[in-house]
Amino acid sequence: MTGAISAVLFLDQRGKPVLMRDFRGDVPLAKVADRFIAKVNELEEAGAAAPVILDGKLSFLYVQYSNLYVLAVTQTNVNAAATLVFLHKLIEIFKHYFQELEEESLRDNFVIAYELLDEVMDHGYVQFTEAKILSEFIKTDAHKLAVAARPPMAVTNAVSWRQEGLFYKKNEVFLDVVESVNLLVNSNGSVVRSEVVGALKMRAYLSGMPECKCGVNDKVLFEAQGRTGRQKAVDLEDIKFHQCVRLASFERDRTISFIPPDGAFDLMTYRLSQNIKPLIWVECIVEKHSRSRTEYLVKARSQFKERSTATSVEILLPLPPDAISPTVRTSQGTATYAPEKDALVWKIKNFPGGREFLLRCKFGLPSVAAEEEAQGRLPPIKVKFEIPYYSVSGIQIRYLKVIERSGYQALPWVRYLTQAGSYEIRMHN
Amino acid sequence: MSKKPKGEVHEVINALEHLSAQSGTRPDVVQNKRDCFQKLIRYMTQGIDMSAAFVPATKCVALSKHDLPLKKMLYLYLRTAAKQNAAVALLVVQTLLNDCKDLDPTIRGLAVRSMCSLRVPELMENVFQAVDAGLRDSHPYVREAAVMGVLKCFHQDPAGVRMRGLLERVDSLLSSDSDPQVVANCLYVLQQAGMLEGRVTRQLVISLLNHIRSFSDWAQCFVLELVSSYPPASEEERFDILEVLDFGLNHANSAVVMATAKLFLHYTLGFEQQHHQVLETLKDPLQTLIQGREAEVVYAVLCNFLVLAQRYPMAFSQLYPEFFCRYDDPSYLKALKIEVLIAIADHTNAYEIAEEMTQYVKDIDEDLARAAIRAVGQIALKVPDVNGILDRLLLFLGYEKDYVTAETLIQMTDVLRRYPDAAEACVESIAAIPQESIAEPQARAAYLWVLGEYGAQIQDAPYVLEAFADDFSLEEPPVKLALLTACIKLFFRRPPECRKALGSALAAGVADASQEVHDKALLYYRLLQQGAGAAQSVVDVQRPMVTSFADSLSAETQDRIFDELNTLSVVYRAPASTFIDAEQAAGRVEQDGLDMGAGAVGHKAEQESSLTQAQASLLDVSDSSAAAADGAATPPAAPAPAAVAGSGGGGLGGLDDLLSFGGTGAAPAAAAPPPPPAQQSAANLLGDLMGGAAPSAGAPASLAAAPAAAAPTGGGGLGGLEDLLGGFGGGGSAAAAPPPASGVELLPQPQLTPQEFQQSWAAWTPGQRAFNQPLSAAALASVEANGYKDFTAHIGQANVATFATPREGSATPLRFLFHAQAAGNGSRVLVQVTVSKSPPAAAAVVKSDSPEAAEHVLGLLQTLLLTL
Repeated sequence: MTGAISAVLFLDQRGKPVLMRDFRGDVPLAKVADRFIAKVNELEEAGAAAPVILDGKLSFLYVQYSNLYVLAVTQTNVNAAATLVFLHKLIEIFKHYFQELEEESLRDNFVIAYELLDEVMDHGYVQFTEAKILSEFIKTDAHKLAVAARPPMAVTNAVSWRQEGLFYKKNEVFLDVVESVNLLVNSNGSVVRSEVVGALKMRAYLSGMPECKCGVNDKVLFEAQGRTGRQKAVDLEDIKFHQCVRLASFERDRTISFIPPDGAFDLMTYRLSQNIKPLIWVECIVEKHSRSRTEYLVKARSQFKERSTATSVEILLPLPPDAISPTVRTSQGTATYAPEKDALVWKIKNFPGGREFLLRCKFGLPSVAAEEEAQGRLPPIKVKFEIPYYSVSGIQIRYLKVIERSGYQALPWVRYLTQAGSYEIRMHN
Repeated sequence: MSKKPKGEVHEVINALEHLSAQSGTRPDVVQNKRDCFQKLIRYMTQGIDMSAAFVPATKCVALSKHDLPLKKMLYLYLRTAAKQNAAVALLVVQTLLNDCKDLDPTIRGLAVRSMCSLRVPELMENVFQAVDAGLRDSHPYVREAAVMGVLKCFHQDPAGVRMRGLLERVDSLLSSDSDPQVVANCLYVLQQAGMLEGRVTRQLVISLLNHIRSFSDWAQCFVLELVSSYPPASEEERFDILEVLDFGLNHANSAVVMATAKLFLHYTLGFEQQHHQVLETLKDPLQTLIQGREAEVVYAVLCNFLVLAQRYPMAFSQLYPEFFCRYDDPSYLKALKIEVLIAIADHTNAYEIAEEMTQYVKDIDEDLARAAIRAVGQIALKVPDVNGILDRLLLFLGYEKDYVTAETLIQMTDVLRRYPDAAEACVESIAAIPQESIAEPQARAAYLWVLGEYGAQIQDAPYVLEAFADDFSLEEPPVKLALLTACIKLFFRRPPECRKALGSALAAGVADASQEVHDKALLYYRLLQQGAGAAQSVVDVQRPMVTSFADSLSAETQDRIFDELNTLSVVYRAPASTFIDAEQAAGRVEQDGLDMGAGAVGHKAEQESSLTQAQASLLDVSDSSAAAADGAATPPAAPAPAAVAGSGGGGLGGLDDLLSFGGTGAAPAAAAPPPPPAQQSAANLLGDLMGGAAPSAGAPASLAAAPAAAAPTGGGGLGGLEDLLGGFGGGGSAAAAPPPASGVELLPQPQLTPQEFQQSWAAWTPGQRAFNQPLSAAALASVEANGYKDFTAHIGQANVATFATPREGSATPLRFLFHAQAAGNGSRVLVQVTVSKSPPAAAAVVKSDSPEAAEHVLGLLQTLLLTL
């Protein structure tokens, strides 16, 4: 960032400051909150509110989180993306310390909050934002920590993301392969966008300084080894690694080797946008029997292998806001009318692969009024689901090795999960 | 209310005193102290002045000095208390200095950081001492704080920092320290102190790049930004650097990805093939960022992406489905995504994008629906040969939602201007719209424009116009203007049927309170008096087809924004110089007495953008109603009547004269907008003709003298046109101008720096002159028109240069700063003109070191303001 942030404020919904930290003393902090909220209200009125606002020479960059505005003020030409990423990072750190970040928890913990703000930023420049490292500096007892004040060594450590001298009785490492499917189907039934965003989420509870190695069925690797054909390989796009992964060795021979941080972190993220069949396909046929009687015929079909089962399936079917007394029948699961969402919620606990379930819903509309006024576009059908032990991309963890000087045997646990991300199917017109 | 805090202060003081009487090492006492401090800080956070609790508070902590949390809370308290009460800070300085020598590096670091944040001038000596020791500390945590401390000191006492050579110390740490965060802080400090520019050497860049992975994400962003501005010595080095930084594109932190992307793009600017490779490589990471979860971050990324998309539409045209809106996207994301879609629309994807937009038009969200319609309109203009886009617009007309109809109509007129051939397909549908369902003035004006242009094909057009004319007084001015034009145009096609509509519109128009409407009605009326044929030759001319639309931002501005990728410039779509104080940018936080910062700097940018502003876009014109376009289209056909008028005022001046010909005299052709580009050459031609008609115009007279003559000179708000004519040898009126009376002549292009302006402004206050002058509403409008450029150009004719203007669209009073320099003795004149709206008036303050020059400029200004 070439610019510096003048102050960070936490405001409640009405714009009253809950907590503020002035880093540079070059903005009139007393007026900033009022100016900000006035501007936000003005822009919201005009339907033009955005996360970055210019007011005179002051720039406001903010994130709305729970019942708070988290606001950075500057009068320099800061890096907008970096500043907003920083604010999200700040929220993450506060959540790490207070469980949940909201007005109440902030008021209860403002001393730590001040301490944290002091450590993450000095004179408007971001310093440390790793929650783990910050805990070296934050000694206030609300966050229970060892009493002995050690010098903060992590900063100078060769492996800045891991403390030395960790010990676990049982050495375990959990690796979850979590894939979210984003889908957008147009009202004519064509798939507009379909992609998988995957992450290897690791939780490491390991003693000492363990060396880990992990292998996946990566297409590039397989091709390099001449192992094409038989084994299934995946072609991952936009692979990103946690900073602990040695990129050089990945580049050299596609092995993922690293010394993990302690606890939970994302080892790797990736994306995939080719040849993904929608896992659960929902079709809604709208039959208008008369001016005031409408019927939905909904088909939900699972398009994955029979040996897998989707769980906690929830299909949100939009109804017109003025729908009257919907009645519903399903071949599987339960469906209830949720007037507050203007939708029908169809829940299916278990949805095995290769099956099709039906739902019929009848409802009325006010006879005359609604007919004249052309109905606006209905929101899309939204689907939530989880398919355990399944990776839609076909990625496989071929091995996960842990080597430590003391020679302990670590237990690696690998799980797969595919879930719905932003999964939207637009209604027919 | 005032009593309650007092009670709280006492409560805390009592508790602290009580606690400091007990043994400071007992754990339970320490715990009680912590609780007590928590309370103290809570009150402080609520804004209660707790500085009275200072003595017991420090005493309390001094007795339990090994408790770190307590110490931290004390520092926190001190920082606020010292600001409220400087005496407090002086009392505590010894404790702080002791803490700077503590064994625990955390305490040393905290103490240094806290001391530097106190901002008490009396303490500077001690602070310098602490910083000095901190820079030499063995622990990086302390050095980090001390390096930042140098910057804090620099902002308070730059001379002190320079005297002690602290910046040089920071500079040497930059190349010698082993801790990445210390190095990063050194970079921040040197940049803010303005010492980094010459410092980015090959050696520094290489050493930073070698350690780039050990920097924090934020420092990486900074380093990447820094290296972006470094010109590699050789091609080899350039590609070496790119190779080293390849990791950045796959970084987990979006900010680092964007910073890397910027560097890659800038580094390959001169290498077309590699540049396109970079664009290819960027697609993947950008795609992931755009689908990110944090809407605010996605927004920032998309703002950057939009700049890229506008620059390289081809490279991204196939990514279009990525920018289709999710139902739950916040509206700011939806609006931005649609803009990206417009930018990347071409013949390969226009159909699909228009299809998607059709979905949004049906949305309940009105803003989204309107944005989608605008997008279809723009795509239709941009991508000519794709079928079905225009049909979409026609389809929207059938949706029978008032705002959809309104927005569609507005888009439709632009499309018809671009593709007159499309009229046949559209006119019928437009004519079928029930008139009462078009509520918005802009849409009504658009509807009338269509009636005027294509009324021959619409059977009942005259009667629709008649209905409009009957309710003339109920309409908004833009609608009235459009109605006048529509009536007269259709009159030429279908005279008998239109006579009634035209008659009542003209009658109502002439009586109208709005100057613009009045003038237009009068103009038509007088033209018709000259005979229908003459009027037709003026009004009913072949409409030139608009083939291209000017970009809303000039190429220079776009390049500048591209240079400033990743910063706020991209979000605001304006170069930093328009919204950042020059003082700030240079790293000095000096108070700006004149408070003219943004304008002063903005001037530079304005000069640049004025290049393209001259070619007003068609969209601008359509903004000021269809009628205005017709008004501007008039001059090309004007020779005949203008020749009758005989006085060589030039361009619209001719028309102006024409108006006064009738005897009313007062009617200035004020608020007419600048001519669209297509007409400029025609206007030139006219200027030529006019010059011919007034041979007495002679050699280019001093433009400065022209306004002084204050003859029945025309031009009004048409600074642009007048300039244009000026190039042809001046308006006729200039010839009659007497030589300037005072003998003071002004230099054509005076130069002045903001600093000089400020100093002189303050110094010359004695002997300043001022005057106040009421303005007509029309004059006020011409000040505001065209982003003040017409106004400043008007003033500029007299060699009074613009120094600063308000930001476009600012609320009144508007403050302008001008300056001039006398040719003879070089004395300067500074001017501040404040234009207020109610009542419309201009107030000027003139300051100069030479009374004659001031008097001269004062006179000039009075004339210039009169002739607005």
